[in-house]
Amino acid sequence: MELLFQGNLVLSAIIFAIGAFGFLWKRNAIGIFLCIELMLNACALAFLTLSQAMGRPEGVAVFIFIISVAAAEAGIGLALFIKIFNEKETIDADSLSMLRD
Amino acid sequence: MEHLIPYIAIGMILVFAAGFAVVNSLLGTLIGPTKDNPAKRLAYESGMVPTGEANVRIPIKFYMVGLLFLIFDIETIFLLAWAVVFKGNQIDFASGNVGFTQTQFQHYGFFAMAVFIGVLMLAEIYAWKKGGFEWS
Amino acid sequence: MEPNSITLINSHDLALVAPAIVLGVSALIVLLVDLFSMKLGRSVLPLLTLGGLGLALIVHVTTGYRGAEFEIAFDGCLRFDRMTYIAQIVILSLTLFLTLVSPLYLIRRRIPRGEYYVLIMFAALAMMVLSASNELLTLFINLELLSFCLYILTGIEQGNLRSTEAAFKYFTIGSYAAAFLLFGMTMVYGATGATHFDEIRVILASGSLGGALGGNSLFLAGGFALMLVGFGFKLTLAPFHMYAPDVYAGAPTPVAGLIATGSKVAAVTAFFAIFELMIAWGDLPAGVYYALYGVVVLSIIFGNLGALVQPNIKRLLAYSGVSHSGYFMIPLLAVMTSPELMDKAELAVTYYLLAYGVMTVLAFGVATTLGPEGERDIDRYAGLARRSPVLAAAMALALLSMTGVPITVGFVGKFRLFAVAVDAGLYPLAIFALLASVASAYYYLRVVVKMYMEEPPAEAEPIPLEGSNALALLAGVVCIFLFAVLPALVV
Repeated sequence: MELLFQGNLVLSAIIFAIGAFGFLWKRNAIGIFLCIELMLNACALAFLTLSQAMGRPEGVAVFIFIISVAAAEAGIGLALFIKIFNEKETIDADSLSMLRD
Repeated sequence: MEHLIPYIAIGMILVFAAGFAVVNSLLGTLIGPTKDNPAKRLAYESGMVPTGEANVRIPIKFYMVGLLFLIFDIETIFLLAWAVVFKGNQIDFASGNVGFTQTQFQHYGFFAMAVFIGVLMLAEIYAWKKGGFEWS
Repeated sequence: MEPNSITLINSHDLALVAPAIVLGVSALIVLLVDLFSMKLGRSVLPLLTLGGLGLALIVHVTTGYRGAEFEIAFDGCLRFDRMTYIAQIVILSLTLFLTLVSPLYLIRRRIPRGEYYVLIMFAALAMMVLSASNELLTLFINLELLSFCLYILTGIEQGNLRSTEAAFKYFTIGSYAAAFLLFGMTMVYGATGATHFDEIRVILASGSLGGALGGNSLFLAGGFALMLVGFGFKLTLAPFHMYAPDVYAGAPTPVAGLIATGSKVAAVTAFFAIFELMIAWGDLPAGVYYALYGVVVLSIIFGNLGALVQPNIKRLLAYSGVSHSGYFMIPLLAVMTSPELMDKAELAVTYYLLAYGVMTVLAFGVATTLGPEGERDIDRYAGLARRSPVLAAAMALALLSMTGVPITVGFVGKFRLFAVAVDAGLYPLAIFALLASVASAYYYLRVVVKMYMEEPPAEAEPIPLEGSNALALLAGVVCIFLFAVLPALVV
């Protein structure tokens, strides 16, 4: 089980890093959003793994709530992208540049 | 290498799955007859003749349905976790360590879930009244 | 939790969260009234919202926390102490204030009112519980609930691209920060094996970390650092403040006011609980101290420099908020060097929560009352004293208080914050903050001079003042003086 434990933690760190760097690279709103979801789900995986390894139940509860938070975030994100698309006909992040110093 | 033993089964499944696919496609190309015709080169769309481009833009309305589905779908994860412990069979009520009876526990569980479902129903009424379920 | 500590819900816990329950129920009532009533019902919405918030405030003051050192509810998930108690009063009052000043603004900008009030109340609920959070999951959920409400409120205006863009920036960057916060929580959970702050505190104080990652204390330090990053975004601490001016400028003005005040008050309170955990850990690496030191200095520098050149009033307030967030963190640094100052630092931060909330929300209240004019260039404020003496006076007072002019809450608040730094021997930091505070007078007074010394534009007319707006602004002005003259009323 030790191998599974470490492997999962390393995997979750890698997924989190992919999300964190992808967020900075991506230009499409959906792409940016997917990176955020990746980061959240990496955390969910880490919580489950730690919960299993320590034999403590809190991690599973956190996992359930992360899933629902991610879903709510998806709802808001998609609604926002629909709004952007209706107003701009594109969801490219670079096209949103009205507000600056 | 002892810790790898639990993974032998997974390794065998991987080998069998890959082997099954490779062997069958090899057999097909080796011993099957090869007659080429234009219909065979079409993209497979469940037996229909393909129409239009592959790169169609999905209508934005789809996202509306998608996000409503997503929101109301996730409630199941709470229902499942709740249903597993609802009866309270895992708790040792006879031990005296617990400050409530099994019936009280179940009533409490029912009430808590009723509140949850009630709030969720309000959200559904909101989506319905605002026309979230209409396609056009 | 051990089996013998299982409890079902009890009246003690319910009494402590009663204000939050009142808010939640009244938000749902407002939602239903908005859905099922015709034209008539729309005008009732602000009244219902005010009623809900007022009732919650009354319930909060009459029941709940009773001056004990602290009270625990829901198996240790919530913790009510003096700081939480005052922060919650501040949060409810701020929300009440913004609800009072916004009705006319909403009609002018055609913002859907039902959703607006419902979300404002849910945001208030999330802030209430967030400030009392004593557990990692509770903290995360409420931070996210608050953020979600604010994302939607930022982009609530139909067909306004600036509002949509602000919502997009706030949403993406806010979620990014929340993910960092969550990853930090993962590391803390892995290192200590607990999510309840009370448990974590005991484990940290005992010196032996119990969790699966406990063997390597680097994970714990990394977890705290990542949580600092996550809260840095929420509190608009430099270098995580870049989004704030854009979001404030694009969001509807009352919503910008809520983001600037309420969410910051709640986040500071929640962060203070996490900070107490850091202090409880004897082997906290010095790196965390230097990181926080750097963040404070950068926030004060960037906040003041950014505000110097701003032609837009909302962006100016955003940058000023960045520097004030820096001031908030000064007592925390002091406690890190000399832990015996904990009580004094807590009092100073608690007082500044109130001071910062009052003066900032007053400035946003004036901008909201001015409507579309109030959220653009500072040049539009030229000669405001002639057009509306009351609005100009309120704005001038808010800005003077932010500068730290004596007999205002801003002065007393800053004095207390800096005094803690002096007590801890952090003289360079105290002097630096003091100088920055003096320098900030330049851009605050620039607005005051414009309002009082310059001529209004030729086409400008006098500005009528609604009854509810006048009441709210008057209350804000009174608070600025009252709590400065009688600080004992707070702490």
